[in-house]
Amino acid sequence: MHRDAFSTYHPLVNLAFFVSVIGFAMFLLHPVALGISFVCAAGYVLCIKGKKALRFGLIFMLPMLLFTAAMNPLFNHQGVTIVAFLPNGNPVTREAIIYGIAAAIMLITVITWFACVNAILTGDKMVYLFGRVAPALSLILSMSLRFVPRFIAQAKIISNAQKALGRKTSPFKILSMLVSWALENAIETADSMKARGYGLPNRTAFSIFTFTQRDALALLFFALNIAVILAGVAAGAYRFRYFPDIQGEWTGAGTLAVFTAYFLLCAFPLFLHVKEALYWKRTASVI
Amino acid sequence: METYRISNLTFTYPNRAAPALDNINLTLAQGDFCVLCGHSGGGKTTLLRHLKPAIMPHGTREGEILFNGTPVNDLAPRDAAAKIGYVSQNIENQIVTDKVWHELAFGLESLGLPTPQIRLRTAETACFLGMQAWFERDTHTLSGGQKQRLILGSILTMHPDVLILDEPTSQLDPIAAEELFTLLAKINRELGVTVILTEHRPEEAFPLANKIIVLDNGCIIYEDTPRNAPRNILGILPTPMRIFHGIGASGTCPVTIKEGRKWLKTQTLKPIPPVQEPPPVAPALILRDIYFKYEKNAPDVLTGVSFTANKGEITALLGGNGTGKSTTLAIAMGLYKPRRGKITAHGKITMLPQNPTTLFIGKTVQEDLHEMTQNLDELEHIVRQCRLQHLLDIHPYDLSGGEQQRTALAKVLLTRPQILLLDEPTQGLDTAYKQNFAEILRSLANTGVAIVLVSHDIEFCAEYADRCALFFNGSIITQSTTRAFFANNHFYTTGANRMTRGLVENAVTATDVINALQKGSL
Amino acid sequence: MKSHKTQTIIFLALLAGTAVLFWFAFLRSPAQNFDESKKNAVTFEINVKNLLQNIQELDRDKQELVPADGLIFPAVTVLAYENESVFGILQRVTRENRIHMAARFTPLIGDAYVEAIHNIFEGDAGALSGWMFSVNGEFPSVSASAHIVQPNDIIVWAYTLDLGRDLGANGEDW
Repeated sequence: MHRDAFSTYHPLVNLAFFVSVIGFAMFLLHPVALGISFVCAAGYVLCIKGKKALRFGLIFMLPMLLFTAAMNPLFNHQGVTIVAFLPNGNPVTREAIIYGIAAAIMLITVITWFACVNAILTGDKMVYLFGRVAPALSLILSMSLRFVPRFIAQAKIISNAQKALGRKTSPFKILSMLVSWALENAIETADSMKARGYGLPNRTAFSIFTFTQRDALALLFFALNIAVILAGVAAGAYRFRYFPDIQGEWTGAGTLAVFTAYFLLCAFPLFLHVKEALYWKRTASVI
Repeated sequence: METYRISNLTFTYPNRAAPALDNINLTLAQGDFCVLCGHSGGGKTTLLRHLKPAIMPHGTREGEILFNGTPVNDLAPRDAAAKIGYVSQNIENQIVTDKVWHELAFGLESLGLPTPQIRLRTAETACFLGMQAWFERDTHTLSGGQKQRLILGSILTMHPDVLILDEPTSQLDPIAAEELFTLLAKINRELGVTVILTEHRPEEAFPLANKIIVLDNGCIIYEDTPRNAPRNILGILPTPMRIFHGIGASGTCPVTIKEGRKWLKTQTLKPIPPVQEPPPVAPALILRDIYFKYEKNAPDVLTGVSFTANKGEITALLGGNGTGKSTTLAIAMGLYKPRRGKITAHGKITMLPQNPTTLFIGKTVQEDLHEMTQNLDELEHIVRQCRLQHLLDIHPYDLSGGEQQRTALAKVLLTRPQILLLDEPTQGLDTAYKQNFAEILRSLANTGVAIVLVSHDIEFCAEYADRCALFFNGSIITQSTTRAFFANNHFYTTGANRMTRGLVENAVTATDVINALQKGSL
Repeated sequence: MKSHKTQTIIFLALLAGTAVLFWFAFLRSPAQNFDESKKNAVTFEINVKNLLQNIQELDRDKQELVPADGLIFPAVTVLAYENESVFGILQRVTRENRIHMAARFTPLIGDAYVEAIHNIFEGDAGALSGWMFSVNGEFPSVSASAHIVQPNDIIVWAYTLDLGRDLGANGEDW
């Protein structure tokens, strides 16, 4: 994975981006909007996760897309253009088929965006974001992130130790031993925290993230585009319906403005990533 | 003003008859580097815990503890937290957060410092301790030595006046231990921080200290500079001093290897005959050309390991951390399959893992042992062999380190193995326990059991193993009888060997040197 | 590796089984046991007259579907087979005249419940709106697929906005 430029931005910027993009993905069902969101999400996830994402996409997402798209017309009988009849007499309509595809793409896009969230908003960023709201919660989150890999490792150690005695121990026994071990060691951890002043009033929450001008500009960029999108939707420039027949705005000035704003928003991290990768490619070839 | 002045401190744990600390009188001056020694259960940890109010143990207490002139329990909580730093034994349990930078900032967050100040202090401390390269890493990916350094760092950010450490190197290999001592010396020297620590390994700690305190059964039996120790108190002195006192010499006692060599040059040494190669014995465990890696895309951890362990012999595998020693044991045990190579085992194998508590299931020692077998005769025999008679009703987690080790060993022995593998069995044990443990192993070997132990405790292996093998870079470099092994090594060898290099051949243990000197002085 | 293969086979078998069950429950055509040789005549009508005055209650996108006279199918005499159900006639008439009609079937039994005619669905004009049928002015208490038609019956399918009260039904069926 190449280094990713967007993940170096302040966590608030990351959060603002994903919240708005996923929110819009769920509610803007205009085919062009779906297309934009899907292409940007897929492009970005391929950039940050590479081949693994492609394999995942083909093995899981593609079948899910086909399945969801096929399911919709079987149950949704809205639509004026009847294409075929089911054995029980209900109609299979063109509109239902197209809507099915649209809904499926929306599902996949949201899942893909979440995959991006997973990669970009790492544990410590979440801890930081929580910390702005509730410092105690952020510490608990940080401690959980510390303990989970430790417990998993210890379970393996206990299991190996038991195997070394030449016998199999049931998972329940191992769990019970893990719990005893955890509780016993928790006392030392509590002492260590107490020794360093945990429990004193007025605890602060530290973060290594500084909010820079670049982050402010990014947020401004998002805000402008979101404003355009919302204004366009409210003004009806973005109208689209699938039932009873397919009708919608495709070419009005307002519609094109919304398309452009939406594209600028969704493509932001992808654009940053590609720019950075090209920069390194160029400088590397110069060296 | 002294950092600490303790007057007439007597402390008894609840429901115990005898006091854990008996009339302790002690002063620590600012800038002292003090090493606290003594056998396990002698009261060292109890005493250290009395120096920090937040973790002082419960019980009946008499006497006074003053910190910078103020009674320790009257200190403002903020001062008590910041000015007194405490590092306890278990490295893993002290790290609380998931990121290095967060751990460094933890104490400062508790003190309520604003972010810019926290940023400055953590950056400064990270630089001082050489931690910049791993500032943003996850804590669970750090090595033992790095974790210890991180814990120290998280306390140093609070700008303490005194650092209290309870057996800080017990879980570290010799290299990491040495690095830690160097670091502590640097902190003491450059920042003037008072340091008090407990230690079972005298070799590195003694030269750095300006004060040694020996605690036995709750009483201080020695409090002075290292050099002035009159004899080998409790068997805890480093090699040069042990040899010096062993022959009853007079004059200035050498503390370091360097001083030891200088002093030896003024003495007469009779040559030590090389030990004969023992008669060949039947092999019990044979590993041939083992190749192994944990993950498909990772490099090989073991690159052609071959070695033999014989019946009735104690074979030691030595080498630094991460060289593959524990992995080899796991493979010999059958926990992992090598991708190439052959393992031949003549008899049943069981292993004593590094952490004995991972074997404990029951609520008492008795219950734990009962879980392995119902045969009462066998139980009694093992209990006697491992000296567990007075521990049977205690919860395994309440035992001391050495007692836990023996209990775990008893469990393992109840599987009646012909081949016994031990992973770092002497970590954190004091000399008395080590001797105890070695005697049990020897009596076991005498019944024909092949014992293989992985250890980085050079002194222990030199004293008690029959054969030694050196691990490096995924394979075994050399394997021979103990004496030949250490005598031929230049760096990876005992203090006695390093002291006598060029002066006399084949000296491996302090006893060898004492014998050579005594014969010479006859 | 052998277990991997058996796992995949079991998985595929389960999938196939689920598909078959699915088919039986939801997609199979309901049984019809009318007699094609015996023919009768009935009067048949589909209207949305209730929407003419209350068109603003209807979903905005569906409003254009409402014909000016409220008649989706005017009252005419149509063919009816002996033992055919009201639903059977509806399905045949809408099919022949290319009128959109969708129904819900109770799984495995095949009892029909009409959801929509001409893309006007139940619920499109409020929670109480939907399709009801009357035979000779009365509203039967059984489903359309259970009510067998008699010769010369007058069958009207009408859209209600309040559970049938605006059609004169006394709400017992619901």
